[in-house]
Amino acid sequence: MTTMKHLTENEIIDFVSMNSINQESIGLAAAVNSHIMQCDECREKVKAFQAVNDLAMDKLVAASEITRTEIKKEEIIKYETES
Amino acid sequence: MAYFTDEEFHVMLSQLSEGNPDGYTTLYEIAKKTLFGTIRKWCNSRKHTVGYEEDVMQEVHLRLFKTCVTGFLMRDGVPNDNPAGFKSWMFTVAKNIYEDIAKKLKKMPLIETDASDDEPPEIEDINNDLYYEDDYDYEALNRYFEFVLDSGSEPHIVLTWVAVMLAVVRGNLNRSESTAYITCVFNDLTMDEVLDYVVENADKILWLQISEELLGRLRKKLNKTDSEGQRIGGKKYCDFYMKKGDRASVSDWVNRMNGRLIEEELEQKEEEDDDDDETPDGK
Repeated sequence: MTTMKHLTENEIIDFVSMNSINQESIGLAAAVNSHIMQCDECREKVKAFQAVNDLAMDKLVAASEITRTEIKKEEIIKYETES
Repeated sequence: MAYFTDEEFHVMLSQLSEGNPDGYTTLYEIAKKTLFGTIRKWCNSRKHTVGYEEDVMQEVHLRLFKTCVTGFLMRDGVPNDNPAGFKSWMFTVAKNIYEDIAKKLKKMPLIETDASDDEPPEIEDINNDLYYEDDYDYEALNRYFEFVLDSGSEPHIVLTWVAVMLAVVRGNLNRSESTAYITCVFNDLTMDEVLDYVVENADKILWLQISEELLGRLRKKLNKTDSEGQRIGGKKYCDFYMKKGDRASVSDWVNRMNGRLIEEELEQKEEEDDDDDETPDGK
């Protein structure tokens, strides 16, 4: 029986957060995708991280189109004033 | 219209399963020759998207690289050796991305209910019923959130990542604001407080419920000590991710999340500054 080295949370987060195609990201995608084609456990984990990431990205894109809330503006101004 | 052959699909499948980076060149070529003509038609069908076909194609390539296995090739846990289905799935991915970009470009309402001349042409061979995902499956999302929170032996990694995601989901923030907001909120929080932030914000999202059992497991993980004998829950976010003593720096997480767009914004700002410098009087 062979032991399979599972993906770390950092590797998964890097993979699901990839936002450009370059040599490094292709290497990461190749490693992660080939692993999750064999490993059910990591595939489920990647799916879960992807779902959460995609939801956040959708909201982030949508937010650029809608009016910002006053609360958030105040919090940011407060931070900028303090720092 | 040029589509890929079954043989090309099988070469790609074999390369991807071997972890051969050439698989991405094959996937790139398959996607480009299958989708680009249609994407160009979509882009040309709305005046505000004319000329954006390369941008849409680039986003589609990235999306395919990231989701080809979980989204299609191993979607139900078994190899999906179905070239025709793969083609339909790619069209669906491309269509969703095109619509997202079109909305962003025109600031359209999120849901179009009114068919008009502005509608992109339909592609006959897309099985929309099977592959088109329009609304969120909140029950599944809740499971995914819990699954992510429950994973890993180093709780700070998933906890802070989920906290950042929740900040974005709840915040109505654009990308630049998210950097400032997240830095502001998380910089001085301990991991215990980050967990409180997650719980508090999850409570405000109707579909998201974190079970008491999971909460107990998370608190137990935070009560463990690191190699230096420090309790993990007592350590600060900035101890893990921020440059110490530099409040202006942003975390890896925010950089990863905002990545290219922040660079684009900075480049744009630099260009604007350069333009300002090049005033007619040379000042």
